[in-house]
Amino acid sequence: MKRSFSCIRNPWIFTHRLSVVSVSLPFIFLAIQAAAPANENWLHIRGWLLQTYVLDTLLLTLSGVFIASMIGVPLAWITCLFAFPGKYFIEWALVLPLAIPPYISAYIYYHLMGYTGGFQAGLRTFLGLDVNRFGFDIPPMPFAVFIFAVTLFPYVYLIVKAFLKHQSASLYENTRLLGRGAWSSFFGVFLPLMAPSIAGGATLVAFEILSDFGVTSHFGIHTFSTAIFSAWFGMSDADSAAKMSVMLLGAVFTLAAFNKLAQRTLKYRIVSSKERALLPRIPSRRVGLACTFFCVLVLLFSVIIPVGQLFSWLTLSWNQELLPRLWQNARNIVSSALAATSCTMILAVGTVNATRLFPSKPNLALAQFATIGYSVPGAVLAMGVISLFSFISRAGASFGIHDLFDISRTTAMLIFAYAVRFFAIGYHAVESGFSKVGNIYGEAARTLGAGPSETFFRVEMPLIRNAIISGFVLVFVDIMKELPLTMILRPFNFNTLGTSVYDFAKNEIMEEIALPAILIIAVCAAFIAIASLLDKSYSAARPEVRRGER
Amino acid sequence: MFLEVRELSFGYGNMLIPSLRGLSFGIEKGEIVGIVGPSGSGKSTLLRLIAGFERPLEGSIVLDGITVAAKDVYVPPESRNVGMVFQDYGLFPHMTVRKNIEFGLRRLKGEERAMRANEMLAMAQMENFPSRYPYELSGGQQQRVSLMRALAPRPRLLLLDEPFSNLDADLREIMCKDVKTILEKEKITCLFVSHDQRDVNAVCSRIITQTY
Ligand SMILES: Nc1ncnc2c1ncn2[C@@H]1O[C@H](COP(=O)(O)OP(=O)(O)OP(=O)(O)O)[C@@H](O)[C@H]1O
Ligand SMILES: [Mg+2]
Repeated sequence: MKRSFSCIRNPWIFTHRLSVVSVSLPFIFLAIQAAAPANENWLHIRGWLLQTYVLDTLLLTLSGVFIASMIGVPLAWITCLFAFPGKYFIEWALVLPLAIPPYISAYIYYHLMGYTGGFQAGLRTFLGLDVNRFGFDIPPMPFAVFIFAVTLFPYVYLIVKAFLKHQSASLYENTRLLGRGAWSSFFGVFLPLMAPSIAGGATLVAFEILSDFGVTSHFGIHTFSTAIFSAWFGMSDADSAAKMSVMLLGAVFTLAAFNKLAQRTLKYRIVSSKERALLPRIPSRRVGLACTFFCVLVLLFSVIIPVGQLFSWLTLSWNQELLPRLWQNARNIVSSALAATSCTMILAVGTVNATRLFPSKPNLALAQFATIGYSVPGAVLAMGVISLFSFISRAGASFGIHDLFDISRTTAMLIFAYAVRFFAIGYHAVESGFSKVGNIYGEAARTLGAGPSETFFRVEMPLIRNAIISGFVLVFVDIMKELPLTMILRPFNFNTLGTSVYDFAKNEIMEEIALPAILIIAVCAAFIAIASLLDKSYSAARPEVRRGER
Repeated sequence: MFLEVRELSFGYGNMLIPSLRGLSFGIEKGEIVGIVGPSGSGKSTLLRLIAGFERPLEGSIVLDGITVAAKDVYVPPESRNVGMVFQDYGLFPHMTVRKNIEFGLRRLKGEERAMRANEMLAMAQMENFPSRYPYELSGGQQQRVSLMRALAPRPRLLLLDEPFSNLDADLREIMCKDVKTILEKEKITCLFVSHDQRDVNAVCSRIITQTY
């Protein structure tokens, strides 16, 4: 049997190629669209607006990333080093902000800080101070930075914590023994060591900020993403939107390349698992209380205040009549999320397994390439998907198939876009599952006469089941939270929980965002809890798996 | 010759130093041949080539008159009918002892399969624990189950890659005897890799020494 022959007919390789093609097509069509000759609108944008877009985007992203890291890194450090009061609960709760999309927090804080909101009302009642009279206005940029910091810090926190957990205790002990104090060992030894993982977390935060539409549009900040939106929705100017998309894409890829470079240094620092892990110690009372205070403060701003406000709105707005619409919107998003997540996971599993069965350099590089969707801002991907689908439908029409699909009515575009955007999450989950299990079971099965597919379904899939489920859950959560793709690609009259929150906030009917927002947050929180439980049970099962390996 | 390895060369990835260079040898049917050599000399790599997990750069492997690997020829592992016992055993952790042994027997019908599995369980002295999971077994028991799992489908050739390296000295000696008895009883052609000369002396009828 020749290999080149089996490659083409192999279902795993087919899935691999399908993922790669699906991811590349939107970008190819985006590039074609962006190459269109400049129109008047573009000349105006380039002459008058582009500079603002660049500056606002840069300022917002850099400060957001900086503040989020200032929260995330210390949190990771203290939760790994100290057993402070309430740590068990706090460590668990610090994942919750991931369930709250930034735009929901933004609407809540915007309201709280406004004239009728709790902040100003409190000042008036308790201090007799009416700041509004002094022309108090919410400064958009610092405010948006605050929102991104309190909602996105978990990316930094979780990645840095995962890194620290795998460091050996002797590293910390030795720095202390060599006469370094706690602070000095943090800045002198650990900060440089953590740098790649901080960069990893910070890059994710930057991707989220660059992709954001809900927060920035509410505060009137002119980033590239909002500019793409207004070119497309405001002026129906797909060409200019595509041009800006390509520019933003350039920025994002540069960022991704820098991150790759930073991660490269990580390779040389893997500590063998035989060493003692860094275990938290009981700190002095003062330090312990300070740690608890810091964590509670972070939780207060990121979870307690927003969720509290939502529930207080809910008591004001509760009304049976809202429920049918809510269910309809929930059904819309859940069904498209399920469809998209299933596609994503099938593609991810197939692609990862293909790279294991045929680990050639091109196969690995192509699979890596297919994960770029995650770094691409929603608005950019949406423009690419629109270009692609309108080409397909035009091509269909020229072959006489007129109702191939109606772009304004199909959810296919949305589902396709979700799958491209979140492929990376599924891919990495499956890949890490496989790498924990190793090759040995698959090879044993092959020597016992099982072909590649039988090996996968009977031996490997049961072993990486938890990784597949947690990938599924994480993709689903991200789709539930997604806004920009949904806003651009949803069919006419198709509302989701997220878009209804957006619509209510835009029309300043704040109480009404409570119900859909709580539903989003509850579903995401439940799913995140499932994913982290699975991760735990997975690592708890490790000793058994490991003994099986011995 | 039952197994014939001709001018075999192989290197991982684009490594400058090949792991194997122009290796040739042959084995007669029913022989138990040991391969010894220092760590890193490519013993495991040779077994992986014979099993079909890697493809040689040059040279060929002929098994029972059929070329299984050569330039433009590649028979995948599942079609070579070669059994392998791994250093880490590789027992499927989510399957019981019986299911592990039956994994390679799916071509047999229900009754035949159960009979063969029982036979193997008995030889592994595991007839009392067919429904245990691998993590509930001692090292020696895991060792025996993995040997019996490999033997169950009656492979043409059995490859053993340091099967005793995770066992303590006493158990090693016992296992060496057991394995030799079983291999001779089943008339299995076998290639046995170890860096311990004593193990090889105890089990094998002939020894090939591999150098860098
Ligand atoms: N997956 C791999 N990728 C790259 N190089 C490898 C890989 N596996 C083995 N090597 C290299 O190939 C050479 C031969 O390795 P091999 O495992 O065959 O040695 P060995 O004789 O089995 O050693 P040991 O007695 O320690 O098991 C070594 O230099 C090793 O570093
Ligand atoms: Mg070896």
